[in-house]
Amino acid sequence: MIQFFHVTKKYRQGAQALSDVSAHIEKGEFVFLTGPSGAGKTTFLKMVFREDVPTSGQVIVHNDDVATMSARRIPYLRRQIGVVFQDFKLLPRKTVFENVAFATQVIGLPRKEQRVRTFQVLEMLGLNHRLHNYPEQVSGGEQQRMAIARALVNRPLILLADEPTGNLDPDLAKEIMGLFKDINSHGTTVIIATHDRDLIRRMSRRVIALDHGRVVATAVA
Amino acid sequence: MGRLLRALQHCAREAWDGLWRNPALSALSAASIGISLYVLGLFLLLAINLNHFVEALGKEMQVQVYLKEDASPADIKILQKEFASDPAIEVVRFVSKTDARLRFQRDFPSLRDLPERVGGNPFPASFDLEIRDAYRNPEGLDRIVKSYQKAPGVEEVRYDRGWTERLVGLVALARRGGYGLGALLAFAALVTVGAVVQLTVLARREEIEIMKLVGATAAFIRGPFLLAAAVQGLAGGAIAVGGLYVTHRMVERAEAFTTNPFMTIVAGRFLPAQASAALAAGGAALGIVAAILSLRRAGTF
Repeated sequence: MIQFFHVTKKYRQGAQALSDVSAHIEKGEFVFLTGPSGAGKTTFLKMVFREDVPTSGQVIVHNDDVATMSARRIPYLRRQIGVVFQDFKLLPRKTVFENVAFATQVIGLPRKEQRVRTFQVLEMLGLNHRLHNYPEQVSGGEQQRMAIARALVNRPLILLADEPTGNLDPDLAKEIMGLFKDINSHGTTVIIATHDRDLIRRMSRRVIALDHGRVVATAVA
Repeated sequence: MGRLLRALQHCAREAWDGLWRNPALSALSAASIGISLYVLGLFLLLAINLNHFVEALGKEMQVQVYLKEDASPADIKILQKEFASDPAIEVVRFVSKTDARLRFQRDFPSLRDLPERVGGNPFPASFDLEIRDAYRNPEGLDRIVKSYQKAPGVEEVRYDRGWTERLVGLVALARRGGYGLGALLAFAALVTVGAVVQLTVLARREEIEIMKLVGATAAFIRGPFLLAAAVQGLAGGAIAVGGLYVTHRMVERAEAFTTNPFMTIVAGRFLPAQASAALAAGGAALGIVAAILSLRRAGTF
């Protein structure tokens, strides 16, 4: 489903974010991407949804080389990928409901379908009592769940999450991980970037460990 | 079908929101387009009226063949025959010396007694030739002049070419001036509208970024901006046409218009409907072009 072949990414300033990374992630797999800050986790994720392209090497998603993909097709790739951003990327002037419904509107779902799906996913994430609040009126944990709700609302084939439990207390983190497991059990491929070792140990899934842009280990924790 | 309709609905809703989110900026865009088209329209109006005048003048244009004092009746007969068989000539009118004097006295009543004062009749007899439309052009007229200039009994062949040519030149100048100034102002409008679009994009940068990340197509993101710019341009075009109409009416009612025949020449008629529609459509096109250029520069994709 997702394949990295000798992927290297150099930024203009000379910093090397990834160097010669090769990795395969199967359809329906649940994978942790780990390593210290600056190891290249975020860059790795960005390549999957074509926010970034490799300097050399290939990234194949759904049999498509993302680097050579025409600009016209990028939106369609992204519709199959839900992303939970580290900084959430919520719109401050839209309510909880609107922030999530926004993603369904963008892909052109019928209005009724937009509402149904948004309610469903917000209920699943325990945000149904927050529908009309604005992001600044809800807690950090709730903002995180909004971000997850938006990533899930279009029922993606792949879910990418960048430090999704960073702002959560341990109980909530556990709950969120349970949720990801659930989603994964329905067939969605899940890739989670985190440096939380406890979390990884508890879940016992495959881990791709990065350090200074290189894969240093890939194993089931 | 449903999807397209929803996309259009979205586009219209977002464009409407965008227009009213900052009414002052929207008005600025419309006004800048309006002003450029108004100025272009003024020159167009002038050109249309001058052109109409030139056409009317052309219809009256005649060639005069002046006869020598000593032209014999035989010379005149031969000339008459030649005129009759010339395909370029529609009507031939013989003006005798007496007719010429009477015509002068009729046209210039204050100089009635001039012929007597200079002693006798100084006016030559002539033929007035009305030329067919197809030959009423510089080459056709030159040909006529050349073929009769040397004929026996002919003193001179004349037509009021200089005047017409100068008028045609004036029309071209008005038109060119209009295009030039219009283009300059259209460019200014392009920059203004572009800047407004860019401000709007900047204000919504976050939203646009997230739209892209969740899979919005370029058309979905750009559509509302383009539609809003088209509406502003159309409004600008309407402002221009309205402004031109008001200007036209004001000139028409002004005292100078009724007393000075020259004013009728420069402002007698209003733009035809197609030209007005073209101005409005031009406004919309201007808005869209500005938005496209600006969106490209803003890197919405």
